[in-house]
Amino acid sequence: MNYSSELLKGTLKTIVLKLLADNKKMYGYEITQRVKELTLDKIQITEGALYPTLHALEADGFVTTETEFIGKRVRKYYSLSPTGKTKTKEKVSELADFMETMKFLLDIKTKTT
Amino acid sequence: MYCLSEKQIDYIFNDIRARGVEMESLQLNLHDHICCIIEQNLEEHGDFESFYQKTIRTFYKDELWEIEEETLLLLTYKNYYAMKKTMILSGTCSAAAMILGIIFKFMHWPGASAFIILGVGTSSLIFLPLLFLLKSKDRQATKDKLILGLSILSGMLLSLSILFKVMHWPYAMLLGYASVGLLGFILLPIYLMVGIKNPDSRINAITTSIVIIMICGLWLTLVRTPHGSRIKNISDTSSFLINEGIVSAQQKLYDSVIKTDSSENKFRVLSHQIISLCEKIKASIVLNETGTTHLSNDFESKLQFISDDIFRYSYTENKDVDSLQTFIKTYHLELDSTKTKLPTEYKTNSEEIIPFFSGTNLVVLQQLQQVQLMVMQNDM
Repeated sequence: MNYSSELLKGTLKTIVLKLLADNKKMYGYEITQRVKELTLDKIQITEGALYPTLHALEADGFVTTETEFIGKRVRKYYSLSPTGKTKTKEKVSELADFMETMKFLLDIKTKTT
Repeated sequence: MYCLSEKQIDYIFNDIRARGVEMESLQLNLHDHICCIIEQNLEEHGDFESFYQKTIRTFYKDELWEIEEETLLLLTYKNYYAMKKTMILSGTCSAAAMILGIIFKFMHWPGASAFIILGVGTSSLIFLPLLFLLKSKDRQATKDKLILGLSILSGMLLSLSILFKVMHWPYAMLLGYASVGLLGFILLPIYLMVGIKNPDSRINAITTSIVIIMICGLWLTLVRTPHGSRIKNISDTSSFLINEGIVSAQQKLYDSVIKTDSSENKFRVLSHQIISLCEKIKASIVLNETGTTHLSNDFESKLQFISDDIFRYSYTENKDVDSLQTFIKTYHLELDSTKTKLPTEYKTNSEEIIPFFSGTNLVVLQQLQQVQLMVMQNDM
């Protein structure tokens, strides 16, 4: 099952920030692969959504970049800035709280086995 | 795992640029990303070209530069809420300033123009551009954005042109013609063409087009035509020159009657000072209006006209107008009660005073001529 892009749009920043918090520095392709891997292909981040988000996070000062030359290619690594670290905590707890509320709102029974 | 050659790496980079991605950091991101996918997923002797084309196709809906557009959108609307707040604030301020300006104007209180400048300035230079930025976000199609942009631009130009006109600032008419031209000749056809095709928006397009035509028409009805301006300029300048002829004929007569030895007389000295000061102020106004101090009868061919611009004290040096008024006051103190007093102001029925030497250049020139003639009459 693939989630709709509307659903992912509101959570993409949080996903990226959390991944960067768990892994010191990452590059774009690595982020998409890690998400795919962790979610067993359920969430596939598109390039068209990832890079605009990364640029916006950079402009907000939440992530910093460093470039590395791989032969003729240039690879941009992203890592969290100090404000980004605080922001990640905020975003993650906000989303967790939101999920709880949604569960309640949509009356989703948590499966008990 | 596929191994990309240097040539292929360059090829990918150039292709990304050719597809319209201009931001360097985004070019680098996409370049590395595609290279990674190819290296990871293409078998060692696979077909690079077809795999590349298939991969890059998954990056976008219609065009690759959509990613850049989305990036720029996110970067621009980072300050979306601040922009929205500023828009509402500037809009409210300009509306309030406008209302105050109009009340002050009709009550003849000082400060009316400051409020009007603030009102029109804020609305056309802050409120309208922000309105465009925020509204254009909701419009998907380029033609809708274009229509919105053109209407906002003509609105800005039109309000600025009216402000410039009432403040007697330069280029008011140019701004006005530009905005009406933009409205009538560019916005209207595009708007009508786009709107009429769609049955849902047809009625809207027609009614809005009628409103646009009426706005342009009303503005053009309000302004003086170039021919009208020319006729008015010629009649005003001719009237001034005829008066000048009368003044100089009277001056000749005056000089022949009033003997030179009479310059000993204190009162005559004062008369003389008033007459020559009037001459000096007239010359400075004429110089400012036409570029020459002596207008001749061929003024039309030289395009030297006295316009109906408002007279500005700054045209004259050394506060000549102030000294003239002081001289006139002294003149009145010395004046024989049988002689006519010089005009210094007009009075309305409700005793409101309209000072002399204010109004249009033509009116001030005529007032100066009247003073000169009356001084000479009194002496003779």
